Amino acid sequence: MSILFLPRERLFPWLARLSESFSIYYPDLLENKVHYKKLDKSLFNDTDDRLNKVLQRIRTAESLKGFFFNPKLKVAGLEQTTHVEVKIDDSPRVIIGAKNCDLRPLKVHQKMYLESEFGEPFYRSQFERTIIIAADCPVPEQTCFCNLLIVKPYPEQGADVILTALTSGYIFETSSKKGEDFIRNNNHLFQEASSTDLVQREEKRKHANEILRTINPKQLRQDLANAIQEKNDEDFWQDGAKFCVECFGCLMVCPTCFCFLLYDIPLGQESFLRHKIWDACYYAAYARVGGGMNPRPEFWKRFRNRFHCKFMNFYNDFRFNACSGCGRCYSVCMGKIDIRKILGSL
Amino acid sequence: MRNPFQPFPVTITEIIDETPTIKTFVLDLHNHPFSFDAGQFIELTIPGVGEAPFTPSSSPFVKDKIEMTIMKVGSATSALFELSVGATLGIRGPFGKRYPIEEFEGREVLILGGGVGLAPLRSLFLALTENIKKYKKIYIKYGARTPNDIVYKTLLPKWKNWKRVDIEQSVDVGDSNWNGKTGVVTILLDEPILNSKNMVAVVCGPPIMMKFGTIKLLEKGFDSNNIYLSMEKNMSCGLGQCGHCRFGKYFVCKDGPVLTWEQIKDIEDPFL
Repeated sequence: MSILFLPRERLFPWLARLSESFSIYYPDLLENKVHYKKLDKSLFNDTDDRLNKVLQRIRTAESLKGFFFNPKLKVAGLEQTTHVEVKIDDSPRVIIGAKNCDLRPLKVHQKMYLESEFGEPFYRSQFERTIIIAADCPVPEQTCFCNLLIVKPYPEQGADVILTALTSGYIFETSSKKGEDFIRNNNHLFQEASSTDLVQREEKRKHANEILRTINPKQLRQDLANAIQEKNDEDFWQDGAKFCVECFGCLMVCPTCFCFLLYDIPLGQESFLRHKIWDACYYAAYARVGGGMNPRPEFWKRFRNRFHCKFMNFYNDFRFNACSGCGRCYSVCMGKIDIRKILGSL
Repeated sequence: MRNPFQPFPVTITEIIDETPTIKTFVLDLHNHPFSFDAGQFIELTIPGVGEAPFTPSSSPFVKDKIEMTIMKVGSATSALFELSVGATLGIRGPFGKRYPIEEFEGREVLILGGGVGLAPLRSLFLALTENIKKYKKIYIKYGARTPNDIVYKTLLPKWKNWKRVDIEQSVDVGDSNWNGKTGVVTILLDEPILNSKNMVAVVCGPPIMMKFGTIKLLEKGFDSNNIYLSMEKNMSCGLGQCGHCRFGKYFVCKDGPVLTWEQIKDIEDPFL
């Protein structure tokens, strides 16, 4: 794997050149929130400084999930007795600036979709067309708790290239075969990273870890899955869900939530289009069957199910939690329900 | 890679009225390389309405057609009941695990069905009777609410005459023409059952019947590994991906839909 350096003033010329072969998505500020934006070459002089600043901030408001598992995607259909042709954009793209708390969730989806018996060709195709240049998270904020879930504030696995923004430029470290090939084919503006650059990166990472330890000093129980399994008293979960207004925002912004609904839209006589859309286990009808039986009719049971799913069932199946501590659920919660507090009081 | 969300179209060739609320739909499988094993289910698309999971009720050995006995309970089945012969439906599957029928060989198999729950069990029954000599005996214990609610009214008397097959029926409430037993289906388990420890029981029916059926079988000495239960959960994608049929540590669509009592006994309210 290679470690290279790109001087600061060369980032946008490099991206501009890349944009001739790839669609490029990068984080940008919009009303003081960071969102992904598609690169418009004509704006790159303007965005140079902004990107450097934005990369110093925490993860984007929306996660990477939607790039791979689209909120609504046409996946099938019948026009009377003929299959509807489902086309998916497979043009190459680069996503730059994702943080480590968005990479772990991709691993969750890979387990659920790509490594399952039947596979998921749409997710696979979105994944295969994408180069992920993930970035360090140098200044975690109060909503962040990746350290409680053994997720680092800098990319470990799941990215193709790992980027660290320094004052004078950017370290690019390749992290997959795909990333290595990508950088080799697009290395015209790079130079070797110096040992000073690497020391600087190390210091920044150490600092980020320290910030996280200050924000979340108390580790969670090591046997979280068992603790959740044993926590059956209704009062505990009722209390946790007390301020929930059932907006389900937490599940919609969650980068790991993998549930979906297959939703058919009629197209006239004996014809329909089938969409795969995001779904959430908080909905009352989520688990209800045709005859009306519902295993989780009370909200506290559905609230508890979120914890069962992420920290017990998923952990027991794959030995890691389906939560990366990105803090989005807390950020959007109107009742300010802090998942850390619930996990911490188990 | 095959698109797992895409159903293939099939035509309804026959609709059999079983009861006022239950019909058997016969679908043409000519030109479709589709087969299933007893215990597996399919996702049936009613075009423009949506999909719902059903277990076939026909023999897995019959390849040119598939039958499903369906009760009208929700929006998908209500729309299905409006359709006529010639209409197009969609099929995805088969999904889920099959019954391990090789483990039933040399043993007595007790099939306990309630109401429309006999439908998926019929598929197992026909799979077993295809090689009946392999099994010691097959008992069907079937209960319905009233004589009017009995499915397979013409088939049950025929099956009764098959070798190594024993059929007993009850209804919750009889009428003036009913000469059989009256009471919930578990009364058919009141007689002493010899060698229950080695017997296999396969149960399908409404949740309340499954619950009390299981309790009765355990009382009778059945081993929790030998009680197979058809779990009805919201199997939506069939692929173990969408999350809806999560049931304890299982996804019913992938790990079931038939699970043993041993597998599910520690799950909170398993029959809810």
